Amino acid sequence: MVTTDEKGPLTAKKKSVIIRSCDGDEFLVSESAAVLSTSLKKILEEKEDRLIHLSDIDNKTLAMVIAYLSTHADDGLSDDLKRSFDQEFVSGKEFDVLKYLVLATDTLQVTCLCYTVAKKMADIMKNKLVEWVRREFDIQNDYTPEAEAEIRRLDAWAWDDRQLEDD
Amino acid sequence: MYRHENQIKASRTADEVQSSSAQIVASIDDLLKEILLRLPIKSLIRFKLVSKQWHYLISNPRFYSKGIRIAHSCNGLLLCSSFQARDNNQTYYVYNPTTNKFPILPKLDVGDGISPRIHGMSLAFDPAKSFHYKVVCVQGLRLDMVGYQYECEVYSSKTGSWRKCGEPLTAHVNFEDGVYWNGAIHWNNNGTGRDSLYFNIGNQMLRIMPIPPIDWDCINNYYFGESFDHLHYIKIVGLELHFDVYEMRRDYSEWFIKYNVDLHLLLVLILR
Repeated sequence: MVTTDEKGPLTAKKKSVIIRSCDGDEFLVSESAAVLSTSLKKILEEKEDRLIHLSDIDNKTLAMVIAYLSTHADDGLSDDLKRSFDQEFVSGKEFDVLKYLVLATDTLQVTCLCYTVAKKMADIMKNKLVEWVRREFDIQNDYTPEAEAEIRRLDAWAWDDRQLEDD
Repeated sequence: MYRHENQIKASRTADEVQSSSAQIVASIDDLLKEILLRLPIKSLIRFKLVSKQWHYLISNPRFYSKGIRIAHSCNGLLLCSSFQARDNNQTYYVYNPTTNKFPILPKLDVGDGISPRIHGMSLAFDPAKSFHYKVVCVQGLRLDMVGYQYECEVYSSKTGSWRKCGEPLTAHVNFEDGVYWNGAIHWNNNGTGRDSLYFNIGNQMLRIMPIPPIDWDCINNYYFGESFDHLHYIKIVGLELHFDVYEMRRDYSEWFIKYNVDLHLLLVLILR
């Protein structure tokens, strides 16, 4: 399957590249959008071939990243419009989706998207319980109860009145 | 026709990503830092309780720094860099305060794709032996969710170039805050119970060294450093006024207790 990006069918003049997700979906992306990813840019500089396989990004996540890259590569859009696109882009996304996205920004090295997604994740996390964070990041509690109590005691001010959420 | 595919190097499989994106995010310190940096301070303080790794990341003073940072220092030389946690290709320079010179180090070949990425830069400089210095760069290749394969590269101010050194080593280490002693750079892993390593600049070997024989659970603070040609480790437990000073044997066989320090006596003197 080849899906064109949002800018419609590509003319012969405009260079493009095919990016394949780990589950086999292929995306046709303009080169101007692809090079906003530092990793893709490096590959394109070094090799002539136009098919890039991403072995650790699934199609859903890749489609999102490509939509982001294509919007940011569009010279017709003002910076203000791009900023509001960024806000829209992460709003309402679940934490799970954001985790895949932030990993994809790491693989593809898309710094500005990484910052946007990281900010959204932090906004979701800020009023959550420690237990929620452990669950979401699949982290084992490696403290003894004594050590845990000691850390709480030393930073007691951070544990005051606040109503913390667990979902 | 054979069609060559460019594949961005990734050491994890699709299945791994499906099942443990959370673990992977949490295991990439740089990525985690980007998220943590954007939390309000109160949340950040609470999240020290998530795990020892989080506690370490959040408590590290370097976590808060922006702009130019001092990556390392050794016997009067400073290794500085432009600070951007996610930039693989930042500029490093060595500042000598006595001559006011700051030569820029040649760029490293960091390869393509996501990794390898620079995990630590350390200076090795002993003006008593030579006015030339070396810089040890540790690059890590992500192997799986928690493991990295590390490789060292050494810059010599004498030759003005980088050279790859020794065999790659698989471990889980934090390569910030290296300590130069005994002709080697040493990395200790604050309370996380991970490996401690050292890189001998003479024979260019990366080796594991013992961790101090202490209870990691109750460590809030520690000191790890060199003094008068001895390598020391001091643990500081909570607000206790008693602590032990450990020293590493020159053959790396063990940490032994050098001093038991009890500041209660001092307290008594002050209060009198």
